[in-house]
Amino acid sequence: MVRSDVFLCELCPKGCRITEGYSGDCRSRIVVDGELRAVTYGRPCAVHIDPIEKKPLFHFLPGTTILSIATAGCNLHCKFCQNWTISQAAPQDTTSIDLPPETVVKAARARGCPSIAYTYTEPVIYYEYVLETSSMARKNGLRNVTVTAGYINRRPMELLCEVVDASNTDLKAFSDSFYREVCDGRLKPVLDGMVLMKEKGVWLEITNLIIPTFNDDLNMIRKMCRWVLANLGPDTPLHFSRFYPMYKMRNLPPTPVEFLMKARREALDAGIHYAYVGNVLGTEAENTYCPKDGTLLIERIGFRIRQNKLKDGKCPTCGDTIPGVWNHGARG
Amino acid sequence: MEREADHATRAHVRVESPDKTGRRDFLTGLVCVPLIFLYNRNGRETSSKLSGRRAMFVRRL
Repeated sequence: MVRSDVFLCELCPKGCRITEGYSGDCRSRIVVDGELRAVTYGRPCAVHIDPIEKKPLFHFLPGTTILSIATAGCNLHCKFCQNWTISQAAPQDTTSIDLPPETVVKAARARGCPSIAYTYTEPVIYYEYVLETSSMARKNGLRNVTVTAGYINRRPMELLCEVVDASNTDLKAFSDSFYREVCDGRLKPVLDGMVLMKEKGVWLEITNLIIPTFNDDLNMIRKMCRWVLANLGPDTPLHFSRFYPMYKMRNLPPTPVEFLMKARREALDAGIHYAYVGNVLGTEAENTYCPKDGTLLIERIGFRIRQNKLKDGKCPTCGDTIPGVWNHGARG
Repeated sequence: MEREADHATRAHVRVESPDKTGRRDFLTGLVCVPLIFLYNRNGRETSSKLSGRRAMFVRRL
């Protein structure tokens, strides 16, 4: 039997068919010498230490720092991408450093970061790097966070859930046509991925970037909130994030803050317990309140925590448990 | 999506090559730049010298 020269990448729903010397749509998985290789493995193009609130994760180890890495490429091509200089670039067009998994873990430990984030671009496309680094991090008492669009097939997602502790997943719009026309993807795999993460016990928070004239539709936001309630539950935090003109959408203005506030109100009215506004400084929409009695639990300004009144993860007034991962002791 | 450099607060801190690989980067650059120039002239056709590691979830058709 003659062996084909065509490889089918089954990592994400794109299902790229790739031949020798060419890459998949993500630009980072390339057929080299008769095998498909993840060429950005161990070669991040961005390495930072961030506050975890920047991911944003508001219910996961608040007030801690997180070592954050990214490699070049992405399997989506959002016209509004806020990191397009690295996500829409080929690996050979970016400056990267040699940082194998053990060095990432060592760097996180040396700098007192209790967790590592795979973020900025799309961790799905540097899957093998995420998987091995996460596995090593776990063995060293660290936790793992993905900031992702969640555009991945079921089996790889299942495997990833075994080593990932928390995720902030983008829900770019509650519209398949938006995903097709603006992001070059589809909505359903993203929704399925979030349900799977929840089932597997990964702490999940959702970000919805609101873009003027594209997805600033309160009716759509209402439908999205209903879906979150029905499939992920009311305790899944929802972050409405402010758009800034970027990439192919520089002609649009930043999202009006009033609309972000309306979206948050819509989510709270729909029954979501924790709704936030992101990329806007100094509003009460950055704070966490007890959904039962309205007590201010965590006061934030930007990515800083001004006060955290939680007592062992409970509201100090009514004693109700506030869902989240609040301390970085041994993994439970 | 999380922005790499945040414009609202600039709260991030850049880490300088955590494993001090600057010298290796320089040497890699010396080798890779000419290769990229030679092999990357046709859109997404890329240098066969990029290595990485074997990809998971792949099937040969």
